[in-house]
Amino acid sequence: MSELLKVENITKIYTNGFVANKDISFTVNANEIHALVGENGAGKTTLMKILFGMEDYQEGAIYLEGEKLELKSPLDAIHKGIGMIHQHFMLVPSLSIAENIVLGIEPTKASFFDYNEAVKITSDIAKKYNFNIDVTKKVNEISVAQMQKVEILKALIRGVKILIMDEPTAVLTPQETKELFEQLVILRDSGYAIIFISHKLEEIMQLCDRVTILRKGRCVGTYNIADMTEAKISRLMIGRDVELKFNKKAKQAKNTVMEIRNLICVNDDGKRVVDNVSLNIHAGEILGIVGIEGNGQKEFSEAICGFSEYHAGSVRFNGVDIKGKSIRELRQMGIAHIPEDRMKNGCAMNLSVKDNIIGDRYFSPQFRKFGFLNSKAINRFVDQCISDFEIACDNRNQPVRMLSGGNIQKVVVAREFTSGCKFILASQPTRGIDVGTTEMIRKLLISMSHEKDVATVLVSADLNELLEVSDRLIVMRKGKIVAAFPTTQGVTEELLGEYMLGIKTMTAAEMEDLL
Amino acid sequence: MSKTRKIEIVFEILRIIAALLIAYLFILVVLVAISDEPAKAIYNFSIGPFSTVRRFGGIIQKAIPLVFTGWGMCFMYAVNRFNLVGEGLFIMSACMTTYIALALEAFQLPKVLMVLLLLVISIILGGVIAFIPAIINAKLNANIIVVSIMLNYILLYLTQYILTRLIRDTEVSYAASRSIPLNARLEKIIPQAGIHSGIIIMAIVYILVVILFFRMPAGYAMRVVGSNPEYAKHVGIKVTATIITAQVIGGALASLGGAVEQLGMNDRFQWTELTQHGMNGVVVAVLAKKNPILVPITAFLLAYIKQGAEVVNRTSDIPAEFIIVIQGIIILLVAADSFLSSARNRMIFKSALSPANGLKSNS
Repeated sequence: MSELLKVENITKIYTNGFVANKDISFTVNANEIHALVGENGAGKTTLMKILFGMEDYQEGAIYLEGEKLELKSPLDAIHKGIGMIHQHFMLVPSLSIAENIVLGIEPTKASFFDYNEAVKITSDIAKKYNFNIDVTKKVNEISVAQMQKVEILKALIRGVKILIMDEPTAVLTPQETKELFEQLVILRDSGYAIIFISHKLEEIMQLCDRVTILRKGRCVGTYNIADMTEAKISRLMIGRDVELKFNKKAKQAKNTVMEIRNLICVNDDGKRVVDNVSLNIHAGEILGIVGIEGNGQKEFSEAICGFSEYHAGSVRFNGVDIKGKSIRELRQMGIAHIPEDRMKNGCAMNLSVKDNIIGDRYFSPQFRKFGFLNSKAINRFVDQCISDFEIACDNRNQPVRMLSGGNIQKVVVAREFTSGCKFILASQPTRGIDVGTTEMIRKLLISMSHEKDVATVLVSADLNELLEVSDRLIVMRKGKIVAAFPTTQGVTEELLGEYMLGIKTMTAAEMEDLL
Repeated sequence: MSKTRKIEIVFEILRIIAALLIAYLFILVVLVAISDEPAKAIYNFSIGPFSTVRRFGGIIQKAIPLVFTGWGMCFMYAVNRFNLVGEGLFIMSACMTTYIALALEAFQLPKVLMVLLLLVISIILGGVIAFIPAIINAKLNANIIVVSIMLNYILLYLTQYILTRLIRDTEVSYAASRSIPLNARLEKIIPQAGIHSGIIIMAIVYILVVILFFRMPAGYAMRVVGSNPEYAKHVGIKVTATIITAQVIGGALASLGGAVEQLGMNDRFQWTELTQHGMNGVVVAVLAKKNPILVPITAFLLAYIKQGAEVVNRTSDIPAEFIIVIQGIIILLVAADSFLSSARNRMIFKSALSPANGLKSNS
């Protein structure tokens, strides 16, 4: 096997002083699928961005086929032969697959765009690598898995030799994952190198040839998969054993907290993104919402928190209709919300830890004295939160932007969990967070609902998380509930995958009494 | 990461000092280049403002209105709205207080009552007028800079209407209002320095502004909204209302500054163009890092440079206008986020890699 890419002593420091990569060295061969693993925050994303020319670095060098690379931009990286498949696809929805693939390198006839030629060359390359897609279809008509194929073809047609894939299976169902793997193996055998980034160790064991493990910005080492086990990789990644299984007591049915009837949300394009959903959520239970991203979970969860509007139906919280209530009123009634995007609306990055914890209650009598903010009471409370939730910060006045992702999420969680809520919506609460914090947040979700009778809705892309944490599950597809499970016992990821994909659907009668 | 924080703060301060120093050096170079007597010009510029009580008083006189307009801009900046209506409000407020003082002349109100009344009117006037661009921006999504600058011209020509049609003194040959009645004027509390009681009003407002900005729930909401409106919405803060309120307060402060300047410094209303106090307020607020606590200091610095220019102008052959160039340089260097940033980043990298500090783990 020939060495294709060589990374030597890369060190990257961000301007906030955070050392993201320190002395990272590894090599990638042709005909190899090379896994890159590490906890979130271990420096995988940074390393990837460096390889793709999106970030510069302070020390070290990168060699491609023995030649030193000075990447200025992603375009530069593609020219040199390094392509990347992002988690979020960059496609033009209103154009056909063929047009998307040739965008920027269009074939021309008499200086006009030659659509037929574009279809021909794209379908040829799709056939060559056994990608089963119709290139004349528009991108807005195809599934996420197919969009991913389009992205891969985009890279291949530009002549890349190395494909970097950033958690490609995060958006796929188990069935789609299997298909992707078959294609990746074909690519490997045709001489490509693939850098495969994933959290799912079983996938790595199944697919990859070698693995490079990162921990806290440093390279732990590169190993042959044949010599490894999942447990070994996990220990090298984290440095200790982590328990992500929980002992849950069986829940008993309690009173209904949230009563949702025939809820309909329409998006800006006039499409029904939540379509006639009816559901009861009870005190003391965790309801998991399963579904491929973009099937209405986001709109549904934002609607029941009052963050965005719904267009028909009703949502009653402890018997009170929430229509027309402001977010502050809803919060005071006991609705809490861990938002999907902690950077965007979970906190204000430039404000201090303190300002981010008291955001929803700075006006409450507890924190006021003669109409002024009561610094003493606020500081006491914030310091308590910092120690209770183990937020690693210098002090309460440190701007949140200087904290790590996990600690930023702890700030969000500290605010939402101490709000005295009766209902909590947790959207992707552990996405992109280190294992230790993930463990803590999951435990908190369970103890809040089982010990304090909080009604909890968990929306997550992580099927394993949903199965571990939830008491019962529903599956959403195209804005509708297509399956409901009263317990997670006996439910597998594969079974959920079939419902997520629409291979199976439960009838209304089957789901009666389960919603 | 406290070390990084320290480096950041040190460089923030360095940047402002460096900006002021560079501008200052530039002034000296210009003076050397264009003056026939450079040594005298430099002396007059740098030491001149402190050489007599009257000249030093001039710095204070110039600083007072800038403090008010600077505070006004701090509130605009707090909610991330570059609302420049302070410029037009300053002249409008001066004109309206003069008009009302003249209209009430016959009643012979006691001084305290008269002055208080005029100041309260100026505050209300500022709030109401600042509401206009704020609401247009919030509801119609019109660019706040364009709306406020256009409004400034409307306000300017409105004052000219009032001046020429309603309050003009026909006894004098130039465009000026009738003399402001004595019971409406602010007392000179240090006559030899020309300092009027506006400085006391400033001190009182200082306390109120700092409390409002940092210690009141409303001020907290403004800072949160300015920092991240999406987050503010998420935690249940009324974003639009907060944004408008902050601009109304900012307008009220700039307007109060116009009234204090007019009643403290002038015998008549005779401005026929925009006074640049509002724009200088932007300089003051930016230099103060948009923090109202620091505004009096930066207003004093700017007033010192202005006073220096005036002394040079009076004693030598240098026009006072060159000061505008200097202001431009200061703003450019302070507002340019990347000025000195590579040096700052190098220090952060070095400190992060130093063995004493150790590598920071992520959690």
